[in-house]
Amino acid sequence: MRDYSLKKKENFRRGYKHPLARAAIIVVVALLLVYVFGGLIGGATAVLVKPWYAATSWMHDGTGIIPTYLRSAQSYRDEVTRLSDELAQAHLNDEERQFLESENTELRALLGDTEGATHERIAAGVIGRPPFIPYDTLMLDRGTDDGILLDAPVYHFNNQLIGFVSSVSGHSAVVTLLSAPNFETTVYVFGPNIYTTARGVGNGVVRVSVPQNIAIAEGDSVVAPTLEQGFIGRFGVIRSESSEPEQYGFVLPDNSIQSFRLVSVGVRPVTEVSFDAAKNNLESAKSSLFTIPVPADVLVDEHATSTDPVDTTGEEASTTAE
Amino acid sequence: MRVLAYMVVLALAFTMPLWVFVIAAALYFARWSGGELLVIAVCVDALFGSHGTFSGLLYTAITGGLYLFAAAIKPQLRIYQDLI
Repeated sequence: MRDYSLKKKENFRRGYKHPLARAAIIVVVALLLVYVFGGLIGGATAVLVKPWYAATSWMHDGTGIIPTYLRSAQSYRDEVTRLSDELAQAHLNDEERQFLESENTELRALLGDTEGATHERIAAGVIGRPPFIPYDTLMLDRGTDDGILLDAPVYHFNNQLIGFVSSVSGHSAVVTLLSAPNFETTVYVFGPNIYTTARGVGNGVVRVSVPQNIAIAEGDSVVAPTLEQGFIGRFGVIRSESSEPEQYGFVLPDNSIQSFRLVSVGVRPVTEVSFDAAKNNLESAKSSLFTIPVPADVLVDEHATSTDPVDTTGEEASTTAE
Repeated sequence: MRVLAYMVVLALAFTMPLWVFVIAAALYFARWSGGELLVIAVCVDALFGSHGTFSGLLYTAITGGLYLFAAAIKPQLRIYQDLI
């Protein structure tokens, strides 16, 4: 009897010895179960998983306090995320707007439209600058086809005269800067109020030499009297040594030449002018350099003084200003 | 550990997309090679599948394929030989 029992067990195990065959049989049985008894098994499974789906439905559609609170919290989180995204987008738009505004301001300044005064200019982009072209020269992307003339003055930001057109073709022009080595310009220095000669020393720097007995200081304005808009710059550095007969004032560029991106070009070339015409230009330069348009209700000058108490209303001040 | 993994696969089968279940089933087979996952697949197909059609056997077929594949390659893997 015991022998018979052992043989039966051995026979049973031998029949399912190959694991792959046993797996194949299990798979076939499973497929047949689904195919034949799918409805029955599905019904039983539905009963088993019903609590889960009931809980899910309660969470999504329930009107109780807890599901409503949880849904509200989730909706608030979604709202915070959405508003954060909108805020980031608004920051981006604001930065873009600020960039466009600054560019607009720069372009207006290039065209001479500053402080209410408009001067006819041609805006041009700088497509070549040192060290890729000779020092103290610039290449512009505008030429005779755009109205650029030979010897026309060239200005940088804030109406600063930087040079003149030394060569021009149909679609490009070369600008020689006033700072080109040994380039001489007759200038007028406000402060000591003298005419003198400025010489370029390279890299955007113009040097003005005056005798030691003339007081010059940092910040003195230097203008070219040959032009109405001839502001070259201000003394940034003064070098004065008592052992030398002369002292030097250096006009430094506000920005590096390599950073010049846009310039404006006058529509009329620089021509020879008489000394009287130069003096008239200086008066114009004085007007543009040292006066600014002041609102009538703020301006108080000698014409406004009176023995009577001054009525500082805008209307009366406007009259006196005129 | 095996029971816990089985419960995780069970939950994934009823709540997650098919590909999530397939990945979980593949990992389960790689570790234990148990045929009990077929029970889950049968239940899912029976609950959600179209009864009496071959398209309603998707979970069972995929799980069966993974099971057969695991059974076929396991004898070739040294790690399982060492365990035996």
